[in-house]
Amino acid sequence: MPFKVERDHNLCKREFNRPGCCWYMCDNRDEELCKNCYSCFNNCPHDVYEIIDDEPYPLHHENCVGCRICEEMCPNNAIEVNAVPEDRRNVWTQSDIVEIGRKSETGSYKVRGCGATRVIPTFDDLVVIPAQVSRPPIDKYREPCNTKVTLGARFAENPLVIDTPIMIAAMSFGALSKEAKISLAMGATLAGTATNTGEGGMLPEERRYASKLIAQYASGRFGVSAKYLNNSEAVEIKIGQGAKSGMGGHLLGEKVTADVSRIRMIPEGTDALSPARHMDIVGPEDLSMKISQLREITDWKVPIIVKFTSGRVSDDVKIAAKAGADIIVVDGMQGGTGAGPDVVTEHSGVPTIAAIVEADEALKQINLRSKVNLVAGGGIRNGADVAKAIALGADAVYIATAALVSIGCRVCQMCFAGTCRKGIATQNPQLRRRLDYIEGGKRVARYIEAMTEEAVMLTQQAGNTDLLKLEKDDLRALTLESSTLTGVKMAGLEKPFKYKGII
Amino acid sequence: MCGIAGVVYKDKKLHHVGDDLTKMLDALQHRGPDSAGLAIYGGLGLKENEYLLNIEVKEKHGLLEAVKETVNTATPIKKEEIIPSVENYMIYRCKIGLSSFSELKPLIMDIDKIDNVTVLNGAHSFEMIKDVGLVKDIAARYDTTSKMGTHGIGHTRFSTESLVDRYHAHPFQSYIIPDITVVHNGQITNYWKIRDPLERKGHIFETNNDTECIVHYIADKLSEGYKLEEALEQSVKDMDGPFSYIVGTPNGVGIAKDQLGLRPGVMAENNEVFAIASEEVSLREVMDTHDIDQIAPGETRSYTI
Amino acid sequence: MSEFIINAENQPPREVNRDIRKAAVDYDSIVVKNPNAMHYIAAGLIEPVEIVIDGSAGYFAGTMIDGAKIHITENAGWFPGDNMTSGEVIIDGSAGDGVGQGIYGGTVTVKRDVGSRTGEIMKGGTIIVGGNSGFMTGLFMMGGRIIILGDVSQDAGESIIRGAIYVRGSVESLGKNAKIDELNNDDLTELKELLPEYGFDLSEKDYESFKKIVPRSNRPFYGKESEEG
Repeated sequence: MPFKVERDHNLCKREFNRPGCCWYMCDNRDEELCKNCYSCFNNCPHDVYEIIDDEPYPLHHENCVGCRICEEMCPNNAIEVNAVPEDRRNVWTQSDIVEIGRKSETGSYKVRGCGATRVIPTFDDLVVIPAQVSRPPIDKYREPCNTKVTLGARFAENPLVIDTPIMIAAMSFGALSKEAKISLAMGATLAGTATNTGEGGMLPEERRYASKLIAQYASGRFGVSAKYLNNSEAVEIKIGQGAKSGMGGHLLGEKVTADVSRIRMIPEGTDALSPARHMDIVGPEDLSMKISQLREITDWKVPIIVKFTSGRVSDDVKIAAKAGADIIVVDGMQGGTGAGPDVVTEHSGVPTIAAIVEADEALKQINLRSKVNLVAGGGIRNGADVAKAIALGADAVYIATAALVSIGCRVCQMCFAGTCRKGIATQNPQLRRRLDYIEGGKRVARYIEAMTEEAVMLTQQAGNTDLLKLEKDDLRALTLESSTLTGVKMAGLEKPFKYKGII
Repeated sequence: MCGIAGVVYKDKKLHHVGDDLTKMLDALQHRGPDSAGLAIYGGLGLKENEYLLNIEVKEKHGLLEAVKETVNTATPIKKEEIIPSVENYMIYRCKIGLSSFSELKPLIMDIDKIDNVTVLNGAHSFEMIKDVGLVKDIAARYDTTSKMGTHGIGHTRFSTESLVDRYHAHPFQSYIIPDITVVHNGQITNYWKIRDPLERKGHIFETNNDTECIVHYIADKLSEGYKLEEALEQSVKDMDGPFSYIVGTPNGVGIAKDQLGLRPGVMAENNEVFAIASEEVSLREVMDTHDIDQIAPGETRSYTI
Repeated sequence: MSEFIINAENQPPREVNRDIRKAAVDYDSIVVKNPNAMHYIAAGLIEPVEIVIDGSAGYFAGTMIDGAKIHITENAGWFPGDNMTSGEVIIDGSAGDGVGQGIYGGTVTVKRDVGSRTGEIMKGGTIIVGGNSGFMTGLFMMGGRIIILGDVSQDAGESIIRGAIYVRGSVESLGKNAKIDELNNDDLTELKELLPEYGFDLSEKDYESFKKIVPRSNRPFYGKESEEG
């Protein structure tokens, strides 16, 4: 979807009595003399603006992704960004043409942050059905609803007990700033849930503020040691993530600052490469041995989690369950990333709603559903998504992009550049100062708490007193696609939509 | 998928190969909990054109009789045995005579037409034992430790993309030429490109399992006059994906490993025994392992008696 | 010197490792008898204790140790010393693939041949191989040094970003981003100090035949063209 960016000249000139130049990244540091602001120009992540005759003009609309950072940061409310309808000439949209131009010029594929942006079936295609008299609804104001979840009690001596089934997913220090990592840790603690180190090692501050921290064990093994694993409440083996199925991570050398290099235990300025797969996990028996190895190191104390992108979900989930995982994460194709090839993000993987159902079914088929916990990730934004994910078969969910949005992210998709205007996906000290991590922590907590409330309301609507007791039959599908993908009954039809004649 | 093992006694005499393989596979149990199987060569003592069938039959009234009738219509049953298995299944084992090897596969396909009946294999020079569950349980069920032979191969399975049942337990057998078996650890990622030309030549595939594809591929190459070692070498060039697999033939065993060497394989050899396996722990069951060789990426090894 | 003996026969790794962890606090040295190629021996041990594994170890021997010294008297399987923080794993026999995978520090020494991908994703520390090393030795290496006294096979130093691989014998072929360099005097002094320490007595001529495999560029994948060597 293209965007139209407009700047009002009169409003722009209205007021130059601004609070502190660095926020606006103005070049003219003398506030007395300052007659131009350039906030839009300096803060636009996509080079939409150009300076002509000392004034910023939004000239390159084709670059705009609609993040509205310029709008948000303009001190004079002079900017307005509006989506305009795509001018489609058969398969040719404006963005296709712009992208071909870009490829022709650079000769390389496009790297960007965040998850899939095109329209695919989501939780919005499902609804929770309210109880009436066939079963009674539960009173939100006066009757209790449990949200506490215990994860990983299969083999771990100390399972993970969280107050809400919403956890913060893995995002590495390195991809994120220290301030962002601390915000997430504080937020998770305030909300009574767990956060995740990501693949970049454990930040001491993150450990200090997170009461429950999952240590990720990814293919690059950055910052991994016995102490790292034993200093966590759970260990997560990352096989894949939704946005980049079957690809390794890449953290550009520019983001490997002194701090990052210390935590990752690699030299400053070196590209941190995570191989596409764990060098020692090539088949199912390898995963089984990996789980045993990590259990030996952690002395069977903490749960072992295995995280997959959504591909051959059923096969992968069965393998992980048989290999001895306590918790399995399926991350749908809506899942995000700090840097991934656009083509992979948009065109590989299956949607989250389908992945959850397939994973749940796979666990049932091998009689391990009651032993192994299932966590769903990928495009979860609100309490409705949480309730629906649980109804489809998950025991808990992961949020990541959503948690970043709560501390200011505008999904501009430039996380990989290291120039995040909101101080989240950057290591630049000036930009990092923009993120108030104490306020950030509170925002994350409030967001998770409100989301939990929302999920509770839908649970009680459906007549349940425990969020985890929602079931697939409490859902109805609004589209044929979502019904076919999930096996949820079609609204009005009262049975799942299936093609006849196809097995 | 899995743990694999193979052993050959160089003196061509009968040894406790069943016991050896059981121990070797038990040591590899951690590599696969789903099913296990072995093929023990040289100990059956069948006359020319005699075959032993292993048929999985559901415990259901009249079903076994139907199986016997189908077999008897083709050729009289010479000897039979019933081995109880788990999940309401039994294994019906019978000895038959055929006028030529080419009649074996059609007979098997006829028996397979009966619902709830699957022929696990039909063999002349080796004994196939495969079932779901753990190595030790299967060994007790089939008394594998008493089985004698000159050589054999075995497997413990961790299923990846196909079903867990007796038929999908390894070894897999091909009927393109007699008595070729394969056990396999890994995946073939260009499966359809290997399978399609074989099917076009008229070879019949019963499953979508990649191990079945390997055994037909090898049997096809051997039928074209390749030596075992040559067939193994060609397979490394033709097949893609992570794999190491062991082939059993009436007179030897061989191993091949993919070009990136993504699946393990070790071997050890002395004057009496040649043994290969996924891990050293398995080799230790049949010999001193002071000197063991890592099979290199893309490497093949074989021993023919 | 206090010594503790653990008989690993018919014990699962969980029991053996719990015994090792317990004994490591009170004893200076631990002997593990009948290891029978068991996997994960001494996994995650952070006590600076000496351990003798009297026989062969399986996969991941001494994974993630920090300070312990492990001596394996026969062979090891895949990934001995995996992800070690510091310490020593010495193997008198041969070892499988991925020797010293992902180590940050410490030393892994194998007296005879090893399999493929020796020192993959290692970030620091030292790996010494008395015999030959297989395919893609030093894959994705990000630091540290690998010393091979025998030959290395194809694609040595594949995608190496930092660190160095010293090879006394032949190099079948180099991987992407790897190049062969001459040893300087500092390298030689380092090798001459290090190798005798681990029982490798080489002649002056042996030392002269060493080659050194190093990265072409620190930014092989995303670097600007001008940074490519």
